[in-house]
Amino acid sequence: MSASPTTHDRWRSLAEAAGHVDPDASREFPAGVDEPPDFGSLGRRDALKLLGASVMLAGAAGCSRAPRGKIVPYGVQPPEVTPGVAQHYATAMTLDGYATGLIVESHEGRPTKIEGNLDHPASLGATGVLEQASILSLYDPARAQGLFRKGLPQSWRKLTESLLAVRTASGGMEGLHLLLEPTSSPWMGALLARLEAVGAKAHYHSPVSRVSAWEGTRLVFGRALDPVLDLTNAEVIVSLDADLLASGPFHCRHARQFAGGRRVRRASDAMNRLYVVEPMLTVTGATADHRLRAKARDIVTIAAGLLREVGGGADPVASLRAIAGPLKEWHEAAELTPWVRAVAKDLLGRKGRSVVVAGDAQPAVVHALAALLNVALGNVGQTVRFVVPAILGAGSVAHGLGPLVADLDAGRVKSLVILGGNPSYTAPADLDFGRRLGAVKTTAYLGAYENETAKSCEWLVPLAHYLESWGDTRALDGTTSIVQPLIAPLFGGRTPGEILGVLLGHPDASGYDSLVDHWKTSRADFDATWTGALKQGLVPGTAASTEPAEVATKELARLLGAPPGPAAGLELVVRADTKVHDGTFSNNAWLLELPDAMTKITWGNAALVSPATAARLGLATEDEVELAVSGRKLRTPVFVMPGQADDSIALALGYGREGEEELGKVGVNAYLLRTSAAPSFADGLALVKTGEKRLLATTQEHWSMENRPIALHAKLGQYRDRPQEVSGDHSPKRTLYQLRPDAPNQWALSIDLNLCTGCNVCVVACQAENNVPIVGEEGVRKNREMHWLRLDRYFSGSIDDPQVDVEPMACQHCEKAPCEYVCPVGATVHSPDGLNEMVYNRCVGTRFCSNNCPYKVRRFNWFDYNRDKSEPERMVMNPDVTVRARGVMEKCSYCVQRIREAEIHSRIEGRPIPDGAIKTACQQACPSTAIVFGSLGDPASEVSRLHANERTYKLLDELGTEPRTRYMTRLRNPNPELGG
Amino acid sequence: MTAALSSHAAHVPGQVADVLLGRPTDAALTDQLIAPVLRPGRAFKPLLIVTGAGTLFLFAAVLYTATTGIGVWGNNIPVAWALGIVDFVWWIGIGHAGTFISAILLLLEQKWRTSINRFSEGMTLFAVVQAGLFPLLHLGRPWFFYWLIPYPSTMGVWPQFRSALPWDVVAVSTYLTVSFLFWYLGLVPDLAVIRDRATTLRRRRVYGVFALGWRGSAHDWHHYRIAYWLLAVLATPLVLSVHSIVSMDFAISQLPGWHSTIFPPFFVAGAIYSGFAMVLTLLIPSRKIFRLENVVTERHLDSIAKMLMVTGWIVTYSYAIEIFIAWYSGNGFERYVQLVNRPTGPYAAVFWTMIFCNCVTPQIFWAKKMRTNTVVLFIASILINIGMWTERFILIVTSQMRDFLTSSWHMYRPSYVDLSLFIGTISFFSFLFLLFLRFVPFIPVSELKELKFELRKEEGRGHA
Repeated sequence: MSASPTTHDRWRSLAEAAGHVDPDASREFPAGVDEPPDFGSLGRRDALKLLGASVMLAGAAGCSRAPRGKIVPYGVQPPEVTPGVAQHYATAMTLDGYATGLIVESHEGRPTKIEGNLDHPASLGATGVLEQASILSLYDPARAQGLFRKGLPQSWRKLTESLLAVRTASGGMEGLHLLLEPTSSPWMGALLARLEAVGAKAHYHSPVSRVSAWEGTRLVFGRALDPVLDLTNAEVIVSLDADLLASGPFHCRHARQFAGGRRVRRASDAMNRLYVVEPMLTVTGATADHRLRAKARDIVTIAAGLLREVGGGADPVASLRAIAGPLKEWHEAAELTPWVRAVAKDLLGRKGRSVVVAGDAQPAVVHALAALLNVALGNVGQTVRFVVPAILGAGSVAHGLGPLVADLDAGRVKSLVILGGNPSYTAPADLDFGRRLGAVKTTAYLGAYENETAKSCEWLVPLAHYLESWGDTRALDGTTSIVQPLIAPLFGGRTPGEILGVLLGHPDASGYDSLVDHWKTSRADFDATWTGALKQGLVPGTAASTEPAEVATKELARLLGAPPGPAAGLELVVRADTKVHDGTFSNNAWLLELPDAMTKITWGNAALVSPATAARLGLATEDEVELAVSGRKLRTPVFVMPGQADDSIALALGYGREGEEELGKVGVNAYLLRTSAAPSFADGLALVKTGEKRLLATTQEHWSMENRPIALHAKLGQYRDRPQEVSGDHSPKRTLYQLRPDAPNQWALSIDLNLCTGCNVCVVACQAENNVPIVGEEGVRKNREMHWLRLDRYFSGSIDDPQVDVEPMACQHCEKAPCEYVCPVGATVHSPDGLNEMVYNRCVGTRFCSNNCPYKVRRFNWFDYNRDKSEPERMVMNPDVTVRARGVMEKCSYCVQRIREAEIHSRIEGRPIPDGAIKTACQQACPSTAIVFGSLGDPASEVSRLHANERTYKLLDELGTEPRTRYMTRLRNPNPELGG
Repeated sequence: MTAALSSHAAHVPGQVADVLLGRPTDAALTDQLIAPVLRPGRAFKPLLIVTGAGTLFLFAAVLYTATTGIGVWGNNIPVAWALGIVDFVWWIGIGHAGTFISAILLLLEQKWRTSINRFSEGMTLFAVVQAGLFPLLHLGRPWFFYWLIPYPSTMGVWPQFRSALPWDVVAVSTYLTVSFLFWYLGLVPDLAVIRDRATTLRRRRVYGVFALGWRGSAHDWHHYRIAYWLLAVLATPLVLSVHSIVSMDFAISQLPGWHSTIFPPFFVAGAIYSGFAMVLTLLIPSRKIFRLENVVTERHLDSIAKMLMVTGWIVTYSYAIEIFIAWYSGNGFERYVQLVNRPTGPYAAVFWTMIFCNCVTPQIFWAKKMRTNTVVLFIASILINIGMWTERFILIVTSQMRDFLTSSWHMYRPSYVDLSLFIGTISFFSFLFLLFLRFVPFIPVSELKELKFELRKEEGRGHA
């Protein structure tokens, strides 16, 4: 052996032993595999075709199908699908007609997770609750799964024949009526224009519309416009019943910009101030520095009072002269003069750096007053601008069911095609829309479920989910996005555009071809921009231009005629739910189980009553009452809710469904009390206690902090005077055990309570990323909800008008974790990089760890929650995260799958993980950037700097757990004139 | 009857003699004490059927839990341990009196233990069997229970010894083993007696097998005595260790209401307290039914009542100290649990039941009349059994339901499966106990003869 001629003492072949060294052998990978692929003669189209084929094959393996048409991945484009490596595609979700740009994660042709698109103006990288949860609706086995005529399966050809029967010999389509949800799609607009040209008539209906906003701007500026806010430089923000931080189009953008004005790192940093007037506690109201409880009907007088104080006083601003008289009267009718005066003074002190926002549920006159306030304060062009609405037919009579009902009653409707929505359920109760549908000869409904509308229509056509659809859509500011599918329709769904194509005589044309045709004809630079638009998720340069805001207030003077009479009795307020929206998502288990941001109610709704009103009427939570408004009655449970305006009873829409969707049956149907005359609030509510009890499922029973230092908060002034004292005792704790971190990265999380609004999106994002199971209404009632991340909501101060503090709570990843030493089998252990890890395989389920966790963030699989999932439901699972079985503990892992993925990449690339490269799911979804994740091993990292900030504190520090998640004390910036 | 016995006891000089009334011959004693085995009473069968049905009910509940998941119980987050652990601690506490009586009192040469030691050992054994069910069933994945045992796993994984739960497994299983051996060893001479007096061949063979070839020779007795004393010495520390370790399941945590250094002695005292109460609950009816007033005398009842007073006072003192320390510590979380939540919270009624049953009840035993009145004793023993169950409920449930963060405060309500399991274990316990009464001489015949011999010797000395 020693005589061997080789220079190597270890060799792999005789050739190598003989000294012939293969140059490739020294490489980690064979030659060429780490280089970009050489396509040779392969053109772009062929490459994309190959890509499509690959996706299809991979999709076949993943029990799904590839979408029709070509789709282009966002960002780095892999040469082909690598199993196990997720791809990301840009698309957009449309809600109430407005788009939010998204990036969707796809595993082998199976979309699993939704993230925001950083480039899109409505998202800025964040998402809302509904966007996050919409992926679950894609895989909902209760979706309509075929074409039905009167409940029996029918062929596509028969449908097209039936739909086209209305066409006359000359091609006219009089008598064809279309009922759509508000839409901003340019493609649909073009198709509708062609249909309308031959006599068809389009109507738009949604219970959550911006009709009053358009009407308000029309009153002021003479035409319907959409206000677009820019809160970046807004120092004083006044919300008139607008939940601008958590619902409505652009709320992610609002929250991101609002957070920018509250990011206080040093005592010298400035901070904005938010005033909110509202009847029911919203996320925005809970975030406010000053919140005024007011009945919904009284908000108009407050708005008028503000306007008079700001610009319509003794010497009114020129543009307001026309309404100076009525304003004076209105102002005097309002009883809240000191509050109004103080807010007005604050606004006047920040001219051009303030903004007044009116809520969509408020009548047009409030929107008009808000617009005038912004004009008077010189905010237009600074913090707010007006654009032509992206919604088709905005400001016209087509929005609303009035004309359609008139046509129905006159027998002018031969054929009615309902494209999306659920009008039989959501139409005002006085219209009795479902019954009226019965009189029409041909009714076809393109719907996602066999719901109330499907039952009253002849035809049911399954509606494609937006992740299955080709289309286009526009954001509030007009920015246009192409909607590209992530998956072929699972249940044979069609898009509204495809049905319009049928009506135009192209029954077999694909939506993709029709869309591309439209874009080719409308844009000369189609070839140059199409792929880029798909990749980026928006078409550059499509944002609407700012319209001049010239005031013409003649009509407003008429509207402002006389102030309303004194408030009499109880008021009913109905609102789209923050979770199931108008009922669109009422079969979405994630949203149903998501605790309401403020009430913490899951699986249903309840009539919210203020503590004072409840005491007066002798009501307690879970009492059943019968509500009656102008003869319409509804039985509902009561929930006594601090912060609710006295004598104002609020009820969320979207529950009490009567269709085939099993989950949506929970709660009560507030639409039964909603009329076209009073779509958002109504006076003259009668309330009778029935003596019955109706159980609710809430996740938080106790709302006081009991004077414990849990969610810390301070006034801005206190912080500026004594920055070190707002975050409690920082003194180091004596310990027997010294910590010796033995990995370069030490992961940690910072949550700035000053930025967190409590909007709930992190909870759903965590659920989607980590395969968190749902436990059902009964499970929540038994306190077994599984959310790894929960939002603790505390009230302090007066019970009627409390201060609200929200604290996101997940595993704190204690350096000295109490859970670890009590586990008898070592199933929860500490990683070298500072994670408190859960070894599911090793867990036997003694639950001792949960008992010893002072934060109570551990969750237990009481049953086998994942066992009985149907095939489509399983497809939503994130393959990077273990699906837990019965009898094991689980909890927040800091999204360890994302950490390890980044580590693998960094090891391959041979460089350290840059700060900010790893985002936890909650952090990524957060519109307010309240959550920051990173390594304490790098002293320059964002999280290191935040942990060193004087506002940072460790929760329950005295227990010596040394949590890696730390909180930053919330600050309030009250107006000194209002007792600040 | 009671009056007659009392008058009889009254004229026997000294305190010692009344542990056995009269001086029957050995043959008469044997006849009396093995009669239940040879000639079962009429009530035996129906009772066995009732408790057997209850046992099947228990097995159904166990099967349901094991196949479906412990979601069928009422447990939740934060109350992750609830009735299962309450029942476990309660049963294991009851299981303390037996070994205390047989081992510690043997070493202390207390003569009054003789008549009742086997009886309480049987009770111990069956109570520990019930107790052992719960931790097993309480696991999320009970089929992996053996991961808590240090065995040479091919994966090279060991239990995590900083947790009290592996200690618990060792403590309880050791206790069960030693209790069983101790009980069985004591039985051997008596099994031989039944074998020798058997009326059927089958019975002679069966008892012959279990009698392990006992012949009653001096050689046998010599070794028997050594073994019995050795086991007594081994069992003695176990009486203290088992419940000390069970208490550490709670004490090593940092939960207010659990995190307490007083727990080991407090738990042991409570266990002996409940054990003696259960002995009374079982002994009083048995004594009446089998007419054992001459061997289980008022002297025995009086001694047990005194034990109840002593341990009752230790328990009362522990309650007071817990509350005092919570106040004295100044810790808000501790104060809330001890001073607010327990006495005035949603389970205040349970708390005050506990105080009444455990602290007030034994005070009636200051009166000697009460210590010998079987009706009073029986009622008191039931109250103490209830009181000790409520104590474990208060300790376990109220500590968890309202801990540090008020957002996670939640109520706990047991489910019907929880209650079925509890009732089922009572049935199973009664079932096993009935079998014990039926097939085994539950008053140790040979030991009683020995006692009689010793008493006679003492009397002889006394008269001389």
